[in-house]
Amino acid sequence: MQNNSINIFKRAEKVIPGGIYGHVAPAAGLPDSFPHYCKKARGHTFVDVDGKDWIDFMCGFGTILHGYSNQEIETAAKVQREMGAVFNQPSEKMVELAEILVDRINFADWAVFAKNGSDLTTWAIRVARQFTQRPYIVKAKGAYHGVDAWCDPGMGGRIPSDRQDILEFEWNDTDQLRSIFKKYGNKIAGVILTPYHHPAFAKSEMPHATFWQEVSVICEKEGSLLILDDVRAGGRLHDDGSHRYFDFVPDLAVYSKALGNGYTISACVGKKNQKSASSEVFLTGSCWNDAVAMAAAITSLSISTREQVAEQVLAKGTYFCNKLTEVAKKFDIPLSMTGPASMPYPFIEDDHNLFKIQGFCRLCAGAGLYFHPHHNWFISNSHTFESLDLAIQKTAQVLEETNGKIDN
Amino acid sequence: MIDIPVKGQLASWAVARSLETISIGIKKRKPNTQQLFARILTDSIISLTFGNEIVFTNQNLLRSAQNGFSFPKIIPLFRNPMMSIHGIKTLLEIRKLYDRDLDRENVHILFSAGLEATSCYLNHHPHAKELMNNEVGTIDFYLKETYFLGRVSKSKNTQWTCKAVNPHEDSSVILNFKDLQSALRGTRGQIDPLADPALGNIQVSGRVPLLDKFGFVARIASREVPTPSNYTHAK
Repeated sequence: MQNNSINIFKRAEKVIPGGIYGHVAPAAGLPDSFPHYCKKARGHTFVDVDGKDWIDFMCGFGTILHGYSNQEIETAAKVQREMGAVFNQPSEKMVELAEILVDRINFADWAVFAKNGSDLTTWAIRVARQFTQRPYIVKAKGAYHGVDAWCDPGMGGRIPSDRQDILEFEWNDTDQLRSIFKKYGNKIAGVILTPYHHPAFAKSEMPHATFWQEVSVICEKEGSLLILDDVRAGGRLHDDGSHRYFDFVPDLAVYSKALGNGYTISACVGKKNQKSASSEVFLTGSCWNDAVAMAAAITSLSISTREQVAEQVLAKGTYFCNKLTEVAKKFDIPLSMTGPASMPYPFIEDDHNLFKIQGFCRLCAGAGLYFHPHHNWFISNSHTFESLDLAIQKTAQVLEETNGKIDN
Repeated sequence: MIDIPVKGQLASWAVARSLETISIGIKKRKPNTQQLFARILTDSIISLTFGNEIVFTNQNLLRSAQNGFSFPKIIPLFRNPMMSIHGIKTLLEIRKLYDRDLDRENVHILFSAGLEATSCYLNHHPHAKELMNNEVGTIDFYLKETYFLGRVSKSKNTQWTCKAVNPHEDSSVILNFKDLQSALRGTRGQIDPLADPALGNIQVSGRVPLLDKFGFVARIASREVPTPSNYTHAK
């Protein structure tokens, strides 16, 4: 491990619990191979605090869709920053951004804003409760919807009542969902789901052919709201929301990660008939009216439309995933890239304990490739085909050097 | 017969199981040592010997673990005085272990005791049971990559069990301690799951979420199961 990373971490450990926490904690990745701290980033690359260059395939864990330090977005943010970010009142940017979202998201009649996905997934389930006057929320087992006690993947700080109104079913098992509705139907306020199943430490699963249609019918029939948690996938499957990619219509949808291309913002959109209920659920945050993040989001959305970014990242991801699995295959590594190509999760056959994928990512880290072994990767529109080819070439080189031996 | 501690007896039972484990470790080095044998006699009484000569109340067993001494029940001591004396000698040997200089073998024995206490919690603590309900697998612990410290494993429909010898079977996850100090902190539940991997004090490979859950339960156990109050090796 490089010196600066360790030295900064030693300082951190004294003043920050665990040094670094959450999904970016070194322990969640490869602490012996990945840097603990980043110095700067541009496009699809970053430089760590020890001066090592990396080709990035995590894109700020999905927050970067148009590349780090995208000039157009930075300019928009700078213009707004010079006028101010947080005021006593919201800025006009808030209205402009809401108008844009309502205009481009086919079912949306209103929008609200916060800072992180969790802020609004939690708010959205409360809107569903207010709207239906029912207590229960259904989610998929293993799905991540944020850091709040009703859904966080951690273990501490919980009391039994935190989850007493949360019901779970296995992703894609619509029969199980039906049986939950049969048992609790008139008490279920809503079903919250990601567009496809993207748990950490496990393969991504796409919805089966009739999944969304079935879920939509069940929710409509039972009078429960269908809440789409599009925080992670939003912008990488379809420019106007992942529901368009899978062809269904939710009642509420939450966006965050890529929305501001690294500027902190989240949004929830909904239909006209829930507008009144949504007004009853208190919503605010100290800096949630931040006009700089809203200006960045407006520009980010405009670039997505103009450059058809979702289509681009899906095409680039497909190219990259195909090439990467081909290279791995040459060395008898049965690598598969699961989930959508723009945000693929790598899995090696018969590697349920993850030793091989950790070994593979560790080798590639040595060559400056930021491949995460436990989380889905992200393709940005600043990845060029040349940069993807370079990553493939580096992968082939390290596998050549070890003759494909990737065990820890 | 499977011993199942009642509510409120778990920490005492974990102490008893740990003492038995340590006695096995000491016996390997000193064959004349009498091995302890933990058994639940009633909701409030636990025996540490095969013939039930050394018998503690739950509270006195906890006190014994923390302070290094507490009275066993007197009458059972006379069932077989020789066995009682040997048993007490073993308890004194165990106490001395905590005062000795740190060496690899001692750490190995203490680590095995810590694993045993944790597996009691994995099997019987309500929150831990809920957390580990659907988990199966094998967690292996090493010192400096080559020295085997212990294994905790569970198959479907069985309980979590510890092994002190390396069975050379596939691991689900491996935790490697960089040095003795880190391993000893491991025995005391003092490993920081966020900071220690980042600082290189431990390396984890394999199914990380399984070890995360195990570590969470180990920290519950270390908070509830007392160790000698002057046990200062790792400080």
